[in-house]
Amino acid sequence: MRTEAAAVTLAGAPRSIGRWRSLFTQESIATIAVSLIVAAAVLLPLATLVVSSFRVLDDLGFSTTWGLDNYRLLFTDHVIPGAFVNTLLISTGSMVLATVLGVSLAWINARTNCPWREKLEPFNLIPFFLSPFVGAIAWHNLAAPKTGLINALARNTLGIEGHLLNVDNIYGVIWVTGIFFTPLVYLFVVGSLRRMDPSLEDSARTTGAGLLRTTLTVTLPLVAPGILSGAIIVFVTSAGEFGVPFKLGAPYGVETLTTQIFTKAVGDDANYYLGASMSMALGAITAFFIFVQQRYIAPRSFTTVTGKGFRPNVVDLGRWKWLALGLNLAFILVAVVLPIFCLVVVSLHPVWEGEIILSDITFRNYVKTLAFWRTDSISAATNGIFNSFILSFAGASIAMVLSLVVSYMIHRTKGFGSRMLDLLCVIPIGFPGIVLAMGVLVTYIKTPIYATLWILLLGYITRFFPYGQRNISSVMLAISEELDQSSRMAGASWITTLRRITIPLLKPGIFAGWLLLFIIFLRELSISIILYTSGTETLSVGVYYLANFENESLTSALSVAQTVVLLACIVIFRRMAGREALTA
Amino acid sequence: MRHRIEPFVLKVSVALAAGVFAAAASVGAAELTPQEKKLIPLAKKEGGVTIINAIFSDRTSTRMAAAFKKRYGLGDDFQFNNLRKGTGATVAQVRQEMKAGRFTVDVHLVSDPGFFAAAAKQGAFEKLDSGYWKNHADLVNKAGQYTNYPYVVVPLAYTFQPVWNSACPGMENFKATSYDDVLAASLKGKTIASDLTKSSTYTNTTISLMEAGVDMKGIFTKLKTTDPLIEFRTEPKMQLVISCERPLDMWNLSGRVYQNVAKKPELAKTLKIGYYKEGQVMLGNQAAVLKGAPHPNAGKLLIEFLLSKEGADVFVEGEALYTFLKDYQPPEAAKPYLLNLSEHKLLGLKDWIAARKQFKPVRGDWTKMFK
Repeated sequence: MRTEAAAVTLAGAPRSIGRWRSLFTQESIATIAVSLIVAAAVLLPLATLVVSSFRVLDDLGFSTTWGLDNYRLLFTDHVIPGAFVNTLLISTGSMVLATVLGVSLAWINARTNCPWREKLEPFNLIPFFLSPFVGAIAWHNLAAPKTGLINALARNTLGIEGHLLNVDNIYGVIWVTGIFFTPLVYLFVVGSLRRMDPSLEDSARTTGAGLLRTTLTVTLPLVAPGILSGAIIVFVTSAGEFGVPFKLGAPYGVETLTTQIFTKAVGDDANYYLGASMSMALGAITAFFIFVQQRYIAPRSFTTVTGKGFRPNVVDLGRWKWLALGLNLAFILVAVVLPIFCLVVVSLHPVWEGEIILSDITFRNYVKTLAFWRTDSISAATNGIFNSFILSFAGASIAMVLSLVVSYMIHRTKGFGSRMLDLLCVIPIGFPGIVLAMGVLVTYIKTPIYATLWILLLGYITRFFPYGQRNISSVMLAISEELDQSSRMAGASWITTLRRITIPLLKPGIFAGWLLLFIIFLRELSISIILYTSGTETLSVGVYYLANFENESLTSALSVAQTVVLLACIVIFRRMAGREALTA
Repeated sequence: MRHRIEPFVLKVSVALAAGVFAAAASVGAAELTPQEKKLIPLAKKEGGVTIINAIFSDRTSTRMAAAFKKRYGLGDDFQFNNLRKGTGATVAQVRQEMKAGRFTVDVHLVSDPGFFAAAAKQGAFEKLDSGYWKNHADLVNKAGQYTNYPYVVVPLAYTFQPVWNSACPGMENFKATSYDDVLAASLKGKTIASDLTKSSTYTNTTISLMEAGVDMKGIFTKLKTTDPLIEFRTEPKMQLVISCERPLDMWNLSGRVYQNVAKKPELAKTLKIGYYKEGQVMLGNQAAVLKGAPHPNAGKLLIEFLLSKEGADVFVEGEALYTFLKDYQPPEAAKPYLLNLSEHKLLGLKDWIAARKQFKPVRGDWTKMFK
């Protein structure tokens, strides 16, 4: 008996050693390490937030006790319930506006004979890359009731008394958020429209349905998953948007959850613990919608897209094509041209007095915000430029390495681990930047990375690496696994296979993802505003600083600088990633 | 230590422009005190200092850094970091750092007596040994400001005043010397309501005026009828005044006018500053060095600098702020923007710490009215 047992043990030993050895392969070490990093980065801040939300701060702000008072305040406070309602109204309004505009523009550009549609398409996408906060600053100067350029023009030329437009209210927040997030819906829809099987529409047309009816009853339902996905993403992104309501809402009595979270986190009525409970509320809403999108909408198969190579019919709009062109141009005018023009005009005045004064024109504001070598430059602005480039370059690079390994694990390995990792990658998308930043701040305040660029880097990567991961995943899914397997069977190690087979094949996805993250980091505000300190300001923090501590002219000058850099990035993006990198 | 004053309206000559107090030694820039001499080598060794505050602009910060380094011979390599945030935001950051026991800030300078009292009680500040404080203490106490020497001092103060743009339609003949003036029905659509919920200084101003018998509920009710825009930082409010979006701000700082005139001198003709005969609330800014700060000696030296005449010249010239330094004469450029405090009714608070407990009800009433 004993001999048998010993024999079993001896026979089992090599197997268990082999099993242990299999755990220490390059692949599994990388897998485990990356899983732990992702889990820690995503879950730690959120766990900290949950715990903090149950701590109640005393009046003097030093002692805390356990309790549910913070959650009670969410319902009984005089401002927070209103902020909650405003958030829902703004998110819904922006979603409707962005969806109507996004679907219309996508349909016009992808399926109609609208003139210049191919030339105009890149301009439709520009707002996606620009900062909505800067957009809000620009629109405030365009359509503030008394001093907005459009209103001044209307008074001077049309003799209108009072004002024509007013964006300093909830409608203004919806307007700016909606037009800046229109490209999100556009991107979700345009690909499906381009790949649609034309026979479905042809059938409808041959049975006598007109253009409008065919579009409404056949075309749009077929791209419904794309529309719904885009709409939900806009809803969630709008709920987490901080810059636009901060500029156009809060000063005019329209508080949102993000402006209130900011005030509670680091603002002038700070109560981090109450902020944490508000973050939980906001996070629960956005996470729910992301869950619905990921679980029920995204997996719905696009039955319109099959293996056949389709080229959908171009719909002849007849005379209506000029109306389509008008809509296309009008969108570019309000989302790109007017805001940039207004920022440039305001930035050229030493002090903006609500009217163009040609004798005042000066470049002094650009000197103060950009000329870092001069003693009269504003350090929050000049630091911001340097730091944003450092963070964008390093952040995008690290995030893409992480994304590569994570994507590989999700799509090339099977089992519970890959499913968990897939879930972990969805969580940051569901939580607004300001919420995640709150968690990051408190989690890491006792560590050496507090008050350094590293904490910002960590916040950026945690929040946005899923964007890169999804970029790589989309390319990886199109590459057969057999190529990897052949390499491994030929004796190549995991790293060699990754280096010589996988990465070269994924290059376009990696580069597109890197540039996308670079641009996102360059205009990031919600995370930076919570985590920055002296010397670690970013470009958007610089704009925020100037808006709060200086004046509109200096704010506009740095905004113009940020916009120029972002536009340059868009040109590079399109040149290097290809025309269809985003829209295909 | 709580500072209490008699419950009467203070009419002190905070020796700013008037120089009513003749006695006492005035402190010149040439002489260094023994305390400063002791701190200089230690500060040099530490190599830098970080101050967090709500008021020093980049221009003032640059000048202050140069003057500070020059006065003490700290050398060009010495790092002077000025971190400017909102009042509450500075408190939030410092409180977070205290709780975490991880400090990036050396000196905290802001008007929030309740916070400083609570933090001092917890032993959160370094003990100061100031050579200059004796030249301030008398006037600080007479102005009803909270201090807690040797931990907390008050190097400077400001007061909210009415500011308006006479170039805007309907504002040509406007003048403000009382609250009635800034609440007239004719000002509908021209006013700004300072957001109490986001600012301890607006809240303290309200409580101080209430304590002096001013009917603040009545004031806010009237203000509400003028359909004001709600904003809290003084700079964006000033921008609204300049652009005529809201040509009158009930509570702003004369220093903001001064800074905009520096950018465009023509504005001196149109931007006007008033005062309130009901009383001007002096908001002393407390300063302390954080225990655990990375540069405690440089922090102490910076506080000495702020209490010296040379330091006062920098922030008075840059921001049109008030110092409590005896016999102080402000620089000429700043004089038009400073009140002659000997001619005005100055208000403090009986108990700044107890006032903190009134924040919730006072802000609650304000919120019900404006939000």
